[in-house]
Amino acid sequence: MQTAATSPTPDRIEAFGAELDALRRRIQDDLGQRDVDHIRAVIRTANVSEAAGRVLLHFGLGPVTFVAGVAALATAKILENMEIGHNVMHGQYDWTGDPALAGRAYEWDTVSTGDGWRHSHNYEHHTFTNVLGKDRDVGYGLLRMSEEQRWSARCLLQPAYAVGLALAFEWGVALHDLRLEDYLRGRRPLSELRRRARPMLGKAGWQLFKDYGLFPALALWNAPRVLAGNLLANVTRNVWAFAIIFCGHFPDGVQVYRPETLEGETRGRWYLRQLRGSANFEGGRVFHVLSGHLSHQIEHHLFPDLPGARYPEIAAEVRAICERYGVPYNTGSFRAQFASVVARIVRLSLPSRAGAVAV
Amino acid sequence: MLLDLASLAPGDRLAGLAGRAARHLFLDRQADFWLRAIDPLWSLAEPRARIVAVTRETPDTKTFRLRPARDLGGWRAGQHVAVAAEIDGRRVRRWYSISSVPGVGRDLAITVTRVAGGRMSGWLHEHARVGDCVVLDRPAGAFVLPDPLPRALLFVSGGSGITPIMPMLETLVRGRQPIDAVLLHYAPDARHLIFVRRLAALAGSAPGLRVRVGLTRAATERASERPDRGARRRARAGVELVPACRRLDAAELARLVPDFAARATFVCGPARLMDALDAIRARQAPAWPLARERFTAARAAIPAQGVVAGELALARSGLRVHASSDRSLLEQIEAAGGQPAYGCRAGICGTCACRTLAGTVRNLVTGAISDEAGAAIRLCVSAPVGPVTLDL
Repeated sequence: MQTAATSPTPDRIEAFGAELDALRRRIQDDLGQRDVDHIRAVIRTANVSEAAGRVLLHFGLGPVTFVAGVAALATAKILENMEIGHNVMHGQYDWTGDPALAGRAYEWDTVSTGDGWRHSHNYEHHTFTNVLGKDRDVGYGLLRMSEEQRWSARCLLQPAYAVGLALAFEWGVALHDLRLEDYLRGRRPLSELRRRARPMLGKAGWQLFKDYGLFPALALWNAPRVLAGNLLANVTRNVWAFAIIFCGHFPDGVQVYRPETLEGETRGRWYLRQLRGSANFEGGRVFHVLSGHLSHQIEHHLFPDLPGARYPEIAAEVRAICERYGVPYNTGSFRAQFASVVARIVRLSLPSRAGAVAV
Repeated sequence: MLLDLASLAPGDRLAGLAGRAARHLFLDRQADFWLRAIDPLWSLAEPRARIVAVTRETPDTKTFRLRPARDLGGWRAGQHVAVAAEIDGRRVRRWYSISSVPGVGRDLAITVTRVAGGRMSGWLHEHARVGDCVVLDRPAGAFVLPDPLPRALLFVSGGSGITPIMPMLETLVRGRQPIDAVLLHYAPDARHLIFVRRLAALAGSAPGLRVRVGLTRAATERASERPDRGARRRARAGVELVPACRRLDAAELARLVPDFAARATFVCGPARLMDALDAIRARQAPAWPLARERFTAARAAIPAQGVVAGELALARSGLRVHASSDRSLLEQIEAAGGQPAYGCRAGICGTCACRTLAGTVRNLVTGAISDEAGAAIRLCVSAPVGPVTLDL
């Protein structure tokens, strides 16, 4: 990752920002029935898929219904996590006035709380995107994802940490919200951790009860099957979310920034940091929906509160603007982007030139 | 009215332990989804009503009979109800007087005049069909007949202002007590006279009730108008046609209703009519008991330049502060001692997102104006233009 910015001249940057502002206003004025219909169609698909999956797991007897049930349930959880939960919580559908789509009230079907996510993702990650030391999503406090981060012996095992994080990603996110490292290093009092952890522990408790207690119990003799099915569906959703999210900021070519960048950052520079700090990947329409439109991570970071389904049409215009201003636009096939992320995790597990920032 | 506006939260949530458990298990969301898949009327999350009948009253007015999914708990004649519908993806909410008499089943009716450029009235008139669902909040309002009833009553209305008054009169007549009431109603002409049949039925129904209708356009259009057959019918039924003048002043009112100042008066209609009565009260009859129902909130004119001041009210915390349009809502609430949640303070993260309940707000970044009640805004990049009430 480069830290020296190759970017347009200052006055061009402001013109760049103004063009993106105009694009944003145009899309915002165009929002209407078809956007609401889209998210409702996704919600309908997720709910039907969940019901089908649970029925197949509860009442089916052979391996075919088991696999089909897990697939349906995993699809439902993926949609609820990515296209519905993440996007609604960003306030992308607040403009509708529908209380079921209100961003600040939405609770999603994972162990982390909506409030925790809104704080650590909407506020911290989107405000301090890719600023080393401030955006803790750079490695999640666990992995060394940038040459600028200091190498230590434990980095050698980071491919294993990555696999663990992928399998238990929803737990990783929940713990990430809690900022455990601040308490473990004594920077903040433990009493505060106890207070902050209570909502998350409550949510996690209910989730565990739902997936591994209640639903298996309802299935009576099929309890082990339902338990295994729920576990597999959760793990599938975790791995999928991990892959999509890691492809958003860690393929080659994505920039990280020093904290000084934030001082006096103008709107144009903010747009530039969001753009250069993100990467897209290509795919079909269904793939985009399953990724929660985080396949368009660039557009998402430029306009986090515009509905994700609009990102493909916005992308064409953003690319044109980037060409006009000589700003690189990072995109590629999903396979290529993911491969470069895996290569990065392995490469940075080995010692390299001394980085200044702690992982 | 402020309390009604603050009840934008979904109504009738599942109560008790079972409800909390259902919410933690997301079963309430699932139940709501599947119930609504069977019938859009069945919503656990919010009170809905189905349009069961649409009747045309005049060329530009229709009555919509609504059947709520659940009993709304009764209402009194003269009260209003908030109706919300999704129009081009956005929820639009408007208050309408209930034009039907309470106590007859669960249904209620609203009578809506098409307003030029009106989003809700336009949608109701052009797109709403029997079978469509709307979201309905509990009826509310202070524009009701007092208990005990005053000795003498006067009702003054203009145009669609008759909608809350009609059920009040019909309730009076049904009450079977001796009444002394006068209705003075103004309509543009016979074709645009709302509730013609109900007025005719009222007029002959009780000896102490006098119904007087003034047609404000008649004087200017007499030459071109066809003979008004309805006039004879109305005259037979006891509806008196009175001359309508350009301005209603004390002299004119005294001519029509000599003892108006001694009657408990209810007025509802265009601002011009209500302001005229206010002026009469202020100048000639300060002791006149006058109750008014405000129909449409005056929209604040947005000046192109200059700072607009107004009162900023937070409905839930009760905070009130003098605010101006040159600073963000977040800054002004903090300066007054409030502590709203905030994050990036740049309009990106949405931590400070909340809803307006009333008033106009301008986005400091885009310049966009938002004046819909219930609009979603971000405090850190929004400034109040005139008086604003927030759901905070």
